[in-house]
Amino acid sequence: MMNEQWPLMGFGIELAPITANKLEKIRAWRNHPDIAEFMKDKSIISAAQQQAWFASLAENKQQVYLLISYKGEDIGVIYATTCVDNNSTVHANRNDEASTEVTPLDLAIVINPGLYIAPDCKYKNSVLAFSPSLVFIEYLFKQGRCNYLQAQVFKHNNSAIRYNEMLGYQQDEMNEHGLVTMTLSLENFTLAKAKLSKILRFK
Amino acid sequence: MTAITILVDAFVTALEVPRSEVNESLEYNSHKQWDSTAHMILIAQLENDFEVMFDIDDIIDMSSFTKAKEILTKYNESISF
Repeated sequence: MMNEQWPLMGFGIELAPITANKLEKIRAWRNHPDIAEFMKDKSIISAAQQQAWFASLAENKQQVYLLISYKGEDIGVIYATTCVDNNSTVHANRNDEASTEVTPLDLAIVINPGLYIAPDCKYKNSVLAFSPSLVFIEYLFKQGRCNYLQAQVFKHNNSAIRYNEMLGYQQDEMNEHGLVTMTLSLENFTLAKAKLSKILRFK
Repeated sequence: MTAITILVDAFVTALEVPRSEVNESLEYNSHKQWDSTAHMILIAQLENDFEVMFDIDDIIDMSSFTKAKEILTKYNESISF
């Protein structure tokens, strides 16, 4: 994880690095059918897999995962990864075989963000669900060289498509698996944020 | 137009549901059409139609049709549903 000063705060919420004592709570959210249904990888995460993933986070410069909290209550997870398709650099290694190196998040031109709100959270269908994205997206555009965010959403996930469009995303192509690619520029995000800020009037 | 008609219209527009589904039992986390985007549209619609500006706590607390009536009445005692 990068060395910025955490937590990120704004619009009433706080985004902080995940700690070991939260792992099982997060795993339960991630494995819940309401969340897993919209993940590309729908497999059940074991406790051992969760621990291994957490151990890898500290050294992984291509990803960042943050816990969302509101008024001291943990309400979800927001994350970003380097977009492999657009940021990979192919170079020759010592054996002259081509190898692929994924760019760290702070050098990535395109970043894939995502979030989920806890399935039992009373705020999951409220305007508050926009707060973590507003804070995190602004951070992603400022932390490095990011020009675009790119999200992939299943075509039947109307809520997520509408949610992304409210944030300024625009729909691109859909692949053979029914995944719609949505792209967000800083310019469109700035316009969307101005509109959403009129409702999310946190002091 | 009566206050209740304006309120029902706001829910119909924001949630994209038929009028028959806008009733005392309508609340979020129980209706598929009520998601965070619908909630955002609903708040903007209500603030425009009733010429009020809600506190953020009331916005987040507006979790049902019944609650919307209660909160609107708090902001304008002359409104009657």
